[in-house]
Amino acid sequence: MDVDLEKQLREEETLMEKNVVLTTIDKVLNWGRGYSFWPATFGLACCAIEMMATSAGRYDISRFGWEAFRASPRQADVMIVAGTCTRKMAPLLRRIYDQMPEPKWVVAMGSCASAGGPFVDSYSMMAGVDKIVPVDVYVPGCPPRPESLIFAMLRLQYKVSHPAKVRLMRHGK
Amino acid sequence: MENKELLKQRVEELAARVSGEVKESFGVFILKVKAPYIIETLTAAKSFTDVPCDFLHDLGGLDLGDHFEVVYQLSSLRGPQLLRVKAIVDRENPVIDSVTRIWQGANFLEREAYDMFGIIFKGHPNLKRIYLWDDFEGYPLRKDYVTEPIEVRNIVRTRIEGE
Amino acid sequence: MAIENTQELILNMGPQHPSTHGLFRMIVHLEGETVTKIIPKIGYLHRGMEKLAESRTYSQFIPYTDRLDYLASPHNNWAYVQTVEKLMGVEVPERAEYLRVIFGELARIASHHIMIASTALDFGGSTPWFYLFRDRERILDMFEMTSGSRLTVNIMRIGGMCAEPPAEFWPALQSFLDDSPEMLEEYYGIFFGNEIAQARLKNIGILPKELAENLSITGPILRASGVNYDVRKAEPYSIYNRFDFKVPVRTGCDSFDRTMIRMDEIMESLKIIRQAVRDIPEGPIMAKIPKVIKPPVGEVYHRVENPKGELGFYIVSDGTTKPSRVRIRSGSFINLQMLPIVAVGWKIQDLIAIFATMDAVLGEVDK
Repeated sequence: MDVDLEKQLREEETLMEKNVVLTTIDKVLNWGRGYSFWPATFGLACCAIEMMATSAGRYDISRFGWEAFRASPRQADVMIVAGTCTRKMAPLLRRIYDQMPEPKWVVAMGSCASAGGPFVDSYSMMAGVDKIVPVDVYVPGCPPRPESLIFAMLRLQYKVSHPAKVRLMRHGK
Repeated sequence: MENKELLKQRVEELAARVSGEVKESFGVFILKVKAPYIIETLTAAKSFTDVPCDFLHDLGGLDLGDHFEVVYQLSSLRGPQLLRVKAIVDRENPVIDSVTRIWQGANFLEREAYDMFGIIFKGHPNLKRIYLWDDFEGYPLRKDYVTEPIEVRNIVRTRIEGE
Repeated sequence: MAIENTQELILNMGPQHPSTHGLFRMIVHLEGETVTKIIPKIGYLHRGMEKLAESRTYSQFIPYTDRLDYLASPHNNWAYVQTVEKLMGVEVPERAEYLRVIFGELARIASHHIMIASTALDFGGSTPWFYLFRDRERILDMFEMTSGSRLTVNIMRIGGMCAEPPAEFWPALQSFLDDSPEMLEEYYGIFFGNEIAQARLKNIGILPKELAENLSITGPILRASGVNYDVRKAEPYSIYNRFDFKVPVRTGCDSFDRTMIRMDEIMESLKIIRQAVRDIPEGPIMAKIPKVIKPPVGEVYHRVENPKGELGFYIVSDGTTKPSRVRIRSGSFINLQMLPIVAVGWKIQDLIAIFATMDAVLGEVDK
């Protein structure tokens, strides 16, 4: 083996014994963000009840470290849009999104928030919240099961901790 | 059965007085009157002797093409009597007296009928749109209302300050 | 001495606020901490159900009714399909009627669970929340076994039920019934016996009997004001005249009685379910109905006792496959009218108690 490489490996080993891990600051920050989302409770309709069930005993979202549901958008970093967004509500939804501090993500929970759902041809409906806010993860279902929401949040966690990989995935690689 | 017979008698007496017509459908008497008589009809129905119809269940509009109807579902908390009163409202000039003085509970219901059909309730304390925003055009539950295409609906409305 | 020249404070609550149970907005005028005026604003969830009904066939509209009062969706199905059945003159098989009663009463229990849990949460007590959701999950499991969905179950069809409950449904129901007295005991211990909860609820938000009748209030709120009126007794629909149950009535007219009456109703519902499980006959669960549902020309108004109040459907048929008009009389919408009248004069924290005990579901309010 190359002498230089062996020397480097040995140095790393001694560092490991001192519990030192070398990484980039970005990676650490993303790791922290992914494991401690503070979701804003944006319960609009039926899906909000399933969101509550996710936070309650059986499904227990705190196993993943996301149980700090915040009512104030200023303390939150993930907006879970759970339910039907009407045209009357749309400007307010955008306003709440604007009030959230960066970095922030949006999960569109349920068919209504994703694309209008069963009410898409109604006169008062906004067909999908992606017309007003950038959505990261769409959750299908009417309403989605708590497991679906947890899976969606895990995908969001993956996206947050591996931004480069997800960017490549978006271009089909 | 006795109750029903009594109610039928009372409704027919009332119909003669307000020049309305009585029908029966699924065991419920339907009294159809012209809009100007509505206050008189409902006040009388509320104080029918022995069979008072003093509880307002529902109030809603109905579009029948050439005219509107306002449908009142009445009953009582103390008896099995049921009565449906329909008021015929002109389509060109949809005005009817408000019944909020008889039942306070008609407040939201009349606002809803105004929102959906554009029926104007005279004497209502706060006749504004209840579900839709103030600058919404048209009355959606009228049969001639055409829903806007999805491209138009997806444009975010600017919120009027103070609404 | 009263402080003179105080300034009126206008506080906006909602539409996105944790204690408004959805998208309800109220503009509260305050004098110090005392509420002087409330302007309620609704419509943030208005989806235009009544208009959508006119472009759907009769069977296609059943899933939409689930989304009205999403905490007790079998009741909404029930009200709608019974109205259409009444219009068509369909006779529903015995077994289907019993199954409807079982699912309806289970949904009533689940809905009252959420009401008690969210009332406790509004006062900052998060323990009842977890306990009541634990028990509610068991009911949702039973829904899921039968219909495949947890919340918006779409469990009824015009003429019967969507499916026969599977074999594991009956043991699950039995164990739920067996455990229920213990559960109720626990709720008394963790919430109603709590001194803080009692202090925040007792003698708060008095709704007198006369006012309640004049405001067309229905459901548990009316019964908590001392009026003995329940559609299940007054105008027995389905097979409710066969069961032996009481209509719980309380005369306190305050927030505490409005909460406690839900506990009484859970007990009565359990009683009804026990009787239904005992008496349920074998047989088909679907009546013979035509493939294309075309009710005759006519109009019908039918109401059922929803956990929130009376739910009525007024359907006008013009003889085609689509209804000409579907009017939904939702209990929460009309019960909401009491808030601006009753809450005036109370402190702002009592306003939260009054709104929580009204148990308004905004899906039903906004339609």
